[in-house]
Amino acid sequence: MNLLSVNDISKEFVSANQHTFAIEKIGFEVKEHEFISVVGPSGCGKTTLLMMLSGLMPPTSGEIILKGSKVDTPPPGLILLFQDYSRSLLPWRKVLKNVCFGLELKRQRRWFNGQDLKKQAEKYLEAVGLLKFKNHYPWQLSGGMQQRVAIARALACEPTLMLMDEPFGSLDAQTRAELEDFLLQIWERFRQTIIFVTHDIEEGVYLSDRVIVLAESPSRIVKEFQNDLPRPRDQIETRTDPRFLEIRNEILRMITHKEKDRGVENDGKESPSKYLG
Amino acid sequence: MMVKSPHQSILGKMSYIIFRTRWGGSLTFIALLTLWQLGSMFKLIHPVYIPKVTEILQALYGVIVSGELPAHYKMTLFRMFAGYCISLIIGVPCGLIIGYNRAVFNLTEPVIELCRPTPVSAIIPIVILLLGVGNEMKIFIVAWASFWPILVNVIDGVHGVDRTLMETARTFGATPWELFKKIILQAASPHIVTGMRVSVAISLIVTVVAEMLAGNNGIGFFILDAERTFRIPEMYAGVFSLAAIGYVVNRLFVLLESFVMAWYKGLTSKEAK
Repeated sequence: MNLLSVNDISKEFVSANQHTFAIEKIGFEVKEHEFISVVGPSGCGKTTLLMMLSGLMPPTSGEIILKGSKVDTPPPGLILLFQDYSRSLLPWRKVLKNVCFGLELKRQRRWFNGQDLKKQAEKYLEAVGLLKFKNHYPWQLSGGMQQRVAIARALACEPTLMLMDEPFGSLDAQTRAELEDFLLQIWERFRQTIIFVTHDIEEGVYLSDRVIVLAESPSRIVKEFQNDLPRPRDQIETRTDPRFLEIRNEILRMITHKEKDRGVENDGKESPSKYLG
Repeated sequence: MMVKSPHQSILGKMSYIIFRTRWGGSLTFIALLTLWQLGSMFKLIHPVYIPKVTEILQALYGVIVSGELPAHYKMTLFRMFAGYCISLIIGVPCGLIIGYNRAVFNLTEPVIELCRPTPVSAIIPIVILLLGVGNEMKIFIVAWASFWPILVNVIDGVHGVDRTLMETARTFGATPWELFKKIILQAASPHIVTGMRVSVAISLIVTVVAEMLAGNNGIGFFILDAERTFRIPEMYAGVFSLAAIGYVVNRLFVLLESFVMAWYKGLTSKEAK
């Protein structure tokens, strides 16, 4: 059964004198425990898409169905993870209290007993390997560690669906590779469904079961790739696997080809390399 | 000295203490008082209008022991505290509401921008007309003057709350009340405390001014009265005592800030790097 159905959603921004289509008729289905990557150039409306999926922003038309009910406010069981971890963690709370945040809310009444709440938070802080930093403030940690705290905070609520908005976009390459593998381990262990948005095609292919390729202005789906690379993935083996390169090249070719088609809008100033992260 | 010094010679130690520690500031202060004292002693400055520091301190001791100054301070601090508390009780919630709700903000903003810069001294005659010259007038004026900095700082604080933070909380399913309590109030707290600190200084100033204008007690009255009755050292003693009070109040707020907002200090000093 499908966990999430996105039925032809569009988003139109209306300002005083113009209508802009940010997203045009995007539709796809997501099965439970699937890991989906959404790739597309920066500024192609990926964040808008996630804002709509998470119920923070209503679509202009179309609808989003999560577990059989329509999404119009942030639904239970769904967590959106932002790229900007330093701004999404609460700077006045220490790490453990940050992880507790989601659990303290009314929605999570089942954890209302303070002791259970703390145990739950500690369990997931341990899962991301940061239990010994529980009494630090987030801004005392490195970027990669902060994003792990944010991941622990999301996991602690035991979401069925995690939306991730370029979560590793502002990290250095080394940390990024570490966190990619870390995320895969977490995913294998807790089996949530993940929709992972990135502008880095290789990252998208490396992580996912399926890659959805978006084109820009207005944003629409160009193609979906079933990604059958063997798991567990490995930074070296997977990335040198001929099949990996084949998928990557095809996506890359498709996006750059699209760009050439629209020669008037884009007169070749942008090189394909920008899609390689 | 408790100060650890990397220098071995006595001269080195002294220069370290003067230029590298907070003791240096106290030395400047003592030096200025000494200059004052000497100037008055050798009649370089008018010894009657500007008496010797020692004379002023004697007068200060005198009015404290006689109970005169404490009696005036009782009134002054009461008015200041009452007016300040009123401004907090009204200002903080108003600021939170105005900051949180766009519509309320749009409705009130022009009024705030008109009232806020109006010098409080200008409205004193109106208040005397309406409330007389008693405590009500003084407390009202204090409350009025300290209300605006608090209000504006709280509004700024709420407006400054990061969108990402709000959206994060919303995706976790925070209700509007939870958003308010767990995000806005916390994130705005540094601004709220700043507003409180600005206002407490203003409330002391305004209390003293109001007491000078009308009435027969309070430290403002005491200073003015001492001047009129030519008790010059006592007049200076009043001013000295206010300086001390102002210093203590400010110190208390610095303590409060470092206590309430250790996180903010750490965060901002990290960002500055």
